[in-house]
Amino acid sequence: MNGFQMFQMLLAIIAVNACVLGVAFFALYQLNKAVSPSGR
Amino acid sequence: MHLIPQSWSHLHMLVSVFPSFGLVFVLCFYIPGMLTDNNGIKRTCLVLFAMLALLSVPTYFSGNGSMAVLSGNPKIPKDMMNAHYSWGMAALVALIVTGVAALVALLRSGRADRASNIALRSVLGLAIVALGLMIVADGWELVHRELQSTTVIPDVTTSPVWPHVHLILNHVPTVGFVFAIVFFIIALVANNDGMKRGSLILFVICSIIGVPTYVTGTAAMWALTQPPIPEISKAVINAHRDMALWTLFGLGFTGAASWFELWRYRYFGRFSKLSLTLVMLFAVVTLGIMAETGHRGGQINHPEIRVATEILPTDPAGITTAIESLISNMIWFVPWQIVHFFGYCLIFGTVTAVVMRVLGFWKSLSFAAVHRLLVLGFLGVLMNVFSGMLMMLADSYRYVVGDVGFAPKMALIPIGATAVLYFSVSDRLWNLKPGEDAPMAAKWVAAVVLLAWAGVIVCGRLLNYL
Repeated sequence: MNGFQMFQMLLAIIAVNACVLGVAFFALYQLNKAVSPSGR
Repeated sequence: MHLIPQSWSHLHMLVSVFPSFGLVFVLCFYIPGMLTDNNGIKRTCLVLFAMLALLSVPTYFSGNGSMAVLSGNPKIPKDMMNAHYSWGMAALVALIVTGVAALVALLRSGRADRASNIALRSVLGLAIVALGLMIVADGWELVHRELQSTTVIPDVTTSPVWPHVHLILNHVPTVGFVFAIVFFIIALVANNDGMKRGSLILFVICSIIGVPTYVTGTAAMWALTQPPIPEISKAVINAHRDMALWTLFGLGFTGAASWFELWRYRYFGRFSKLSLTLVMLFAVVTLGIMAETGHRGGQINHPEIRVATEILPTDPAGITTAIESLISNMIWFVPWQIVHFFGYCLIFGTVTAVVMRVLGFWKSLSFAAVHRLLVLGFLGVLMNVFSGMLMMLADSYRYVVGDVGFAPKMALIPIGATAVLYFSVSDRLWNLKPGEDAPMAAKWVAAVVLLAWAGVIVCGRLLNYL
């Protein structure tokens, strides 16, 4: 694997994980707020 | 798609799964209904037992018609067909007796609106006997000759256990959704919260079973194509796989919406109409997709259900093969593998915290405090089902056939997930105040949960090394 391919993979890792974890934690925030409006 | 059967065999295949799998699902409601003394659930189940008994009529006639057609087929052994007929008849008689007993119990309950305990227990006993006879009658092996294949080519042949397990598992979400939707509609009409919870739990369980169903389906594909079987078309299999992928998404949406509503119910003590409508919408659409998936699955190995005007798929390309070639590229495989590891962290972290409280650590916390965390673990499960499916597609033969650690991993996931479902819905645990000890049964479930998820991680890590 050359340097460019490694860079591509790094970008893919950041993009995929940021999207998936971002959606997951946004869902967590919304669900938590739904059952406890004060956020506690 | 031609869902309306045009041959006795097709009708028999469609109708006969409902009494057997239907009994399992009705019993899944009936037993908790008896334990919780929920009159609505008990009466609904008695009606359903009677309706299942009515299905014995088309099951019998379509079976007879199929026998007449298939008796000339040299590939189907006569003794096997006769054994299926004899045990099938015994099962149908037991089913009719169960239905009659259920009807009598229902009518005798009359104005009191309550059936006697003896009558309810008799129905339960009869239903279990009928179910046992149906298991013995097992008609799958009549046409699925690959299940008895003894030809073994080292490093090529896939065990016939995989297709056999797939044949059993794929009926759980399909038939299960029919019964869950029926119960859900009755629950909504009768406004019975116990039935609503039961239906939502069944949606979640069916969705959980969807995961091993999908995986065993991939293994079954290898069993049918490597070494190749002359009558089996890879293009037909791929058409089935594409629809199975949509089914997995449908199950994911329905299961997730159902679980979130069960989780949310704990905090408000009532269901949201919007959420329940959403669950119903997802469930109906998913059932439609599953019907088409099942039909395409039937076309793989059932030449007797094909009609002359039907054109079978011939193009081997499809969505699944496109995903396979994309995700097998390391640049896309590794990011999803990392998502999978993050998912495990969320699941195991949540499971450990909840299990510790149930086992007696951190008693200063109420169970309700750790219940809030369950949503984090559930999101981890969703992440891992999606990423795991992508990773498996990248190199399915190596995972499902070549690796001995994959089968136990797939078996432990539904055990761990279903046990976690218990934490989500248990009333006794929810009412656990700070300082109080959890019931012994809950501690056993906690131990199972911890061991199951630890096993999933160990088996997952051992992939490639066994």
